[in-house]
Amino acid sequence: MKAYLLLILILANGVCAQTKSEVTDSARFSSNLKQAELYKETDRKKSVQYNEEALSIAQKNNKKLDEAACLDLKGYILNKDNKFGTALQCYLAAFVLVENLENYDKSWFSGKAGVPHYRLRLLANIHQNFAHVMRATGNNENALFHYRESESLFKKIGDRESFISIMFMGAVYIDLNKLDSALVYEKMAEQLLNQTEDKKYGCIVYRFTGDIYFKQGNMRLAKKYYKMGILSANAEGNLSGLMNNHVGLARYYMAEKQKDSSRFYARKVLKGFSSLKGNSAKDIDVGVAYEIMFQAYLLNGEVDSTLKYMQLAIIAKDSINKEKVSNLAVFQSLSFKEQLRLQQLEKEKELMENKFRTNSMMAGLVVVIIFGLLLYRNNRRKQKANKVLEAAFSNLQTTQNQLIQSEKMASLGELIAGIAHEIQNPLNFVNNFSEGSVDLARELKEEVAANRNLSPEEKTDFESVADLLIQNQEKINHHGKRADAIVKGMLQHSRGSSGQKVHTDVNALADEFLRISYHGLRAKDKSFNALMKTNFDDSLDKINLIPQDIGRVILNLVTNAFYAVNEKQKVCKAELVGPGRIYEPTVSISTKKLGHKVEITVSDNGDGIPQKILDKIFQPFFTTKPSGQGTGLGLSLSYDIITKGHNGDFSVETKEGEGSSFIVTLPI
Amino acid sequence: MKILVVDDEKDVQLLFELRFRREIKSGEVTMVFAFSGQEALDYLKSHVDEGILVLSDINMPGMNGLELLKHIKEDFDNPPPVVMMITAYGDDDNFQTAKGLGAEGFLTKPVDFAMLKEKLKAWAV
Repeated sequence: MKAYLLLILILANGVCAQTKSEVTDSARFSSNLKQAELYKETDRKKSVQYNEEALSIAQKNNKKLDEAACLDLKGYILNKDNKFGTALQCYLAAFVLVENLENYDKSWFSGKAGVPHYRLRLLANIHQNFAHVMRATGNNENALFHYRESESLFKKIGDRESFISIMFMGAVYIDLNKLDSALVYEKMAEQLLNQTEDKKYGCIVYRFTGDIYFKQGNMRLAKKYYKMGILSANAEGNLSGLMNNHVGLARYYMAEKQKDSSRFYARKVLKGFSSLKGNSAKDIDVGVAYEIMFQAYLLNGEVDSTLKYMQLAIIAKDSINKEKVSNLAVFQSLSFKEQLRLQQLEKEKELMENKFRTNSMMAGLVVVIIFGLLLYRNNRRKQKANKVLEAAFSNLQTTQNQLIQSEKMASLGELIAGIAHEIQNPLNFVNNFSEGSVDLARELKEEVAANRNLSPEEKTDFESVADLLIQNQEKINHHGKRADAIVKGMLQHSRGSSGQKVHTDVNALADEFLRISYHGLRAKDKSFNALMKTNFDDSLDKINLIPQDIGRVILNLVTNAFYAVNEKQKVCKAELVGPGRIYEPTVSISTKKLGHKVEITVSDNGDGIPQKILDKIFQPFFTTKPSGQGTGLGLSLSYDIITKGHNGDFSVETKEGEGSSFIVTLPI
Repeated sequence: MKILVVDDEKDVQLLFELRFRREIKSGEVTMVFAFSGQEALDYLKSHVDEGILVLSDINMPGMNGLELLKHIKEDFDNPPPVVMMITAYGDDDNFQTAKGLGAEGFLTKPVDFAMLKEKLKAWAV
């Protein structure tokens, strides 16, 4: 309440600090507020004028805290005039401004050079003044709450005004007729008062204490405190406080039936009102003064005066009550609105909370979803990784199987090589003994022919037996040589190549082996003839290969092709092909460059390869030639040379009745 | 001409006697047989001054043909016997080793006697 005095002090300092120039808004604000404070008890109209001016300056400069200070003062004055409703509005507006933390520095008095804890001080002040309104309107619970708030705030910033809040808490308890509690608070306030040099508002503490004792019937202490209150009020120059103490004493003396003294103090109260010049005093009104007067006269037995003051008291009380009732009605409607507003605020708060809850739930959900997505992605990755691993694993297994297989094949190869060599030894005997035996049989035949002791019949018999022997031995020799050829082929298969890769002209190589094959066949069979076609790619560079091996492959393929066309020609001749259906046996060889590969194709227009044996042609020992004519190792060996020896591809295209093409692809 | 045939197979004797029947009959060729490397070395030691042509198998138990060849070429230098290797293992390794050790010829089994006889004639001249 009286914190304004402090404010004025500070304001005065502020004015001095502000370069003594009243032109600035800061200085104008300060001086206006100072004037408002100055006149707030003595001339409310002026006070209000100055305050409004200060308020507009604060609003213009967006000094929210200073605006709140003006509103606080405005509320104070309105409360004094019992305009509780509008006072309430002022305080509520002030609360909004001060409670907003963002406004902490929006004042000419905040900052390092200004008032320490300016915002909190202001807030405590507003709470206290608001509590006054609540108390005046009988909202004791609210009053207590706001006094408590202001007390704790003042205490926090170390301001002595906390004792004022305590003192008024005691007053509220008096209003509630809880005298023991009230006394506790007043004693507390008195104690705090005694601790400071500044005795301001002491008169009020004494008066409240006196009231409590009076109500408790402790007349001696009541009188003592009222007297102390009067002394203090005089020292402070607090007229309203003095009057209240006078009221107390007047009542005391009435209770004590001391007629003169009661009338004396009653008159003092009434006098006090005239010196208030129409301003209201705290806690008492003129009605109370008249009431005391008529009671005092009643005690004195002065009927006329009693009636006069009784009437005055009734009129005053009536008008005051009317005013109060109307003011209370305004207040109540406003406070109802305020309640509605608070409810609205609460609802909004709830809505906000709900919104916040919803938002946090949404946020939580989003987090969960993100987490889920992460997990899902991880899972997907793991699955992918698993697939890769599985693929790698199956690859590994395949490779392992291939390794085992190739290891098996290698050992089988060694075994075959060993067997082949060992077979060479017995074959050596078979072939040579049979050959030797042919010679012996021939000698025998010659001996028989030269022998004269034998009859011609006997000679014929012997000779025919010798001929059979020769024939048999020749057969043994022939088949021995067959076995020898097979074994030699097997050895070649298992031994692999010992040749070195050299840069080779594939076209020349193909051409050479085509001719070798053709002339070899012609040498064996004079009737053999076939058309040879070559189609070489001239852009082909020399490529790295083992010429003997590739030559061998070409030789095998070309020989097979010649064999195929020759077979077909035999059949065609036998079937006596009609005119226009002359078969022209043709073998062609071509080379083609395909990026980083070379393709060598050997084609024939023979009968083709039946589908059912197509997958067997690369198997070792598979042959379609009559027994004794082929070892069945040619294609198998060629396949190995191309795929293993040269990392190439070997494939076959065939159409039954139209011919076959063997395609060798070699990397460059 | 004296020919020492070294082979662990006893049938080799019959085969050579059969295939060289005429030459033996006419006294053109004398055939001696040894059934191991050691046996061949012993024979050569006891007939140092004779000109002997050695036909040896490679794959034999105990001392093999290549070891025998080595011994012969190291131990007998006056006159140095002519050595031909006869083997079922007609691979490059064996051929090169035999050549390196000083073998005069290299034949693969089954033995082509016609070719052998040609070579012998060339040596005899």
